Amino acid sequence: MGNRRYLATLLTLAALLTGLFFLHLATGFHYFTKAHLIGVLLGGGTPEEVLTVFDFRMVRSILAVLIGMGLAVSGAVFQTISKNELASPSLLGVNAGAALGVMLLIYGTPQATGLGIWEQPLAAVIGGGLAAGLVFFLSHQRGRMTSTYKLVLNGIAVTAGLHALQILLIVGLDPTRFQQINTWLIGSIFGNSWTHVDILFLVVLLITFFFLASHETLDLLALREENALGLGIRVNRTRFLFLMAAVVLASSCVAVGGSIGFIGLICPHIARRLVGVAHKRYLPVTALLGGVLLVAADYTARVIIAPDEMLVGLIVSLIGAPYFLYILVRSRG
Amino acid sequence: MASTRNASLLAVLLLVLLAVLSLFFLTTGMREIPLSGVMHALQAGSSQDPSDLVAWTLRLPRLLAALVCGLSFAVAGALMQGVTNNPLASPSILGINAGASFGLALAMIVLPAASLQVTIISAFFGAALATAFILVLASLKHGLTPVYIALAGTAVSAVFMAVTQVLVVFFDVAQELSYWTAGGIGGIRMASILGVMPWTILGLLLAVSVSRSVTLLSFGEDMAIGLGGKLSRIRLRAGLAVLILAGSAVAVAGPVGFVGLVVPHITRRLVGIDYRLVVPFSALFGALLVLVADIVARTVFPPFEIPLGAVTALVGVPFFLYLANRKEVRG
Repeated sequence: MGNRRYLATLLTLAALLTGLFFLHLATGFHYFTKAHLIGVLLGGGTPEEVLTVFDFRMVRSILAVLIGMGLAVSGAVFQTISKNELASPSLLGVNAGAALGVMLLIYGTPQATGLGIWEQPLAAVIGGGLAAGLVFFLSHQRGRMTSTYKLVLNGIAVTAGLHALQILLIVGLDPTRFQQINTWLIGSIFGNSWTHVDILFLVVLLITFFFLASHETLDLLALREENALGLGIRVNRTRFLFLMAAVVLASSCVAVGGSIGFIGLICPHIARRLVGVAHKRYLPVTALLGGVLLVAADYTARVIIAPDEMLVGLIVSLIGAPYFLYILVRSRG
Repeated sequence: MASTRNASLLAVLLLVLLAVLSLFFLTTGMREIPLSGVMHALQAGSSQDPSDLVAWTLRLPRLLAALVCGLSFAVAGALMQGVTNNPLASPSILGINAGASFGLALAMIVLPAASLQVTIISAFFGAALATAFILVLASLKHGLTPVYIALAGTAVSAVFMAVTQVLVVFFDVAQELSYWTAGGIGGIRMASILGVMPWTILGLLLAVSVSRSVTLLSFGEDMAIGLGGKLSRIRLRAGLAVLILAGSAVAVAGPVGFVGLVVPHITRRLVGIDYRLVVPFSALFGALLVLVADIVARTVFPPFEIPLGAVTALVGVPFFLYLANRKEVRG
């Protein structure tokens, strides 16, 4: 495919993301007209309006973009490394593991002492990493390629077990902490602060750039193992490194936004069909698609039963589950 | 199992165990009722005595629900594994439970005043819809493996769960539905369980009547045709039994998973591969498993209860992982 078509795709997606971002920013309990919103953004408006736009809405809009991007890019790397178009953080147990990690942290911390801002992501990363490790370990067969379907099925089973453990923990929680955990588990981007934005921004930016900088290595890893070896890569070590980076990326997103599934599955898949498999192009398009999808889903979640809100995780799985089925039917084992 | 004598011995053993555990089930809980009190309640019926009242209106319906749900899921799973010749088949993994939940939710939204029977029948339709989905998916591909079918089932399950959850939030019936689908049998009333039991019996009779043919099918299609079985009729009758059993069990207890997966494997290990034995013994083992699971659910964190589905998942997941990763199951 030519450079021009790639650039056109990139620009279209960027424009779409910007448009959705402003729509998201304008929508809520109080709707801002276009002119009014721009006025507030440029420093006008009453203090209440400034507070609403910057501290409530913008945090949420930016987080939606970052989480969408992070989960999508993480999914793309998962798919490259496992050479499996059904792989994604949520289907391989990372979301559930990260969630359990955070729950154990909340469970173990006395209520009086608040959580440090770094503790929650750290617990999520450890939990997510252990879960993904378990799934890969179970699916590994000596001397054979891991079966596409078996890897995902093991991931789903491990997820089911982790959910049961979460329920076990929830039963022992007092009502306030239960509320805190429950909202977070199903996936809500509401109720975060600028500090969350700063941290997640840093994580998503750094890891995405790391992947982009190593796009050639990722291209090689997508090849057959012998070829990559022949080209002088230490396959296992490199794979492990990239996998861990992808787990950190996804777990951080889960720590902030709660468990949102399917984004890491869908976006890489659509991106491959749009621009092909070269990671130099594939990764940026995946990231933009992730942002677009999650902002659109969060916007839908806000307006569909206004003034109430649907949880964004539900909207995403409403699109994601059928798409999963579609990929599965088209796939080859 | 070598002889019918051993089989009947095992049956007696299981029945005694079930009876003992049932009595234990009736005595334990927030209010301890001595065995004599339980006996008194069973004879006296629902009287004004608080112990009688607890035993009769709370514990007994719950006990019946545990037994019904256990035997239904287990027998449904046994039939599915036999007919499809797939060790990973079971109502929860192939999405039938999620379909039944979808049917329940739909009934609550469309017909809020529906009677118990209409709601149950709507669960059957949901289960049938999920089955149809799986059959269509299976027909789209050649060279299907058990693992692929199981994965397709979980995907169908995910679709039904997503649609159900969104419908439930959208139409604001979360409270009503969570009563059914939280995967627990805590709040069940006598009238509900008595309304479900005729379906359970019907499903069980259907399962027993088709069990000989299922044995033929479990040898593989060619063998079954060679031995004179009419495949489509066997499949239809077994499928009907599965829908009735799984659908009504979901209406009682919500989508409790893994019972239908685990129990038939244990049963076949003990009584062999003749489904005339596998079906009734699966019923006994299933009832036993859910009974024990519900006792655990009530007694681990008193006064709180763990949802039944979480307890069965903690047993079922390791078992599932073992089955899916055995050498014989090709990816």
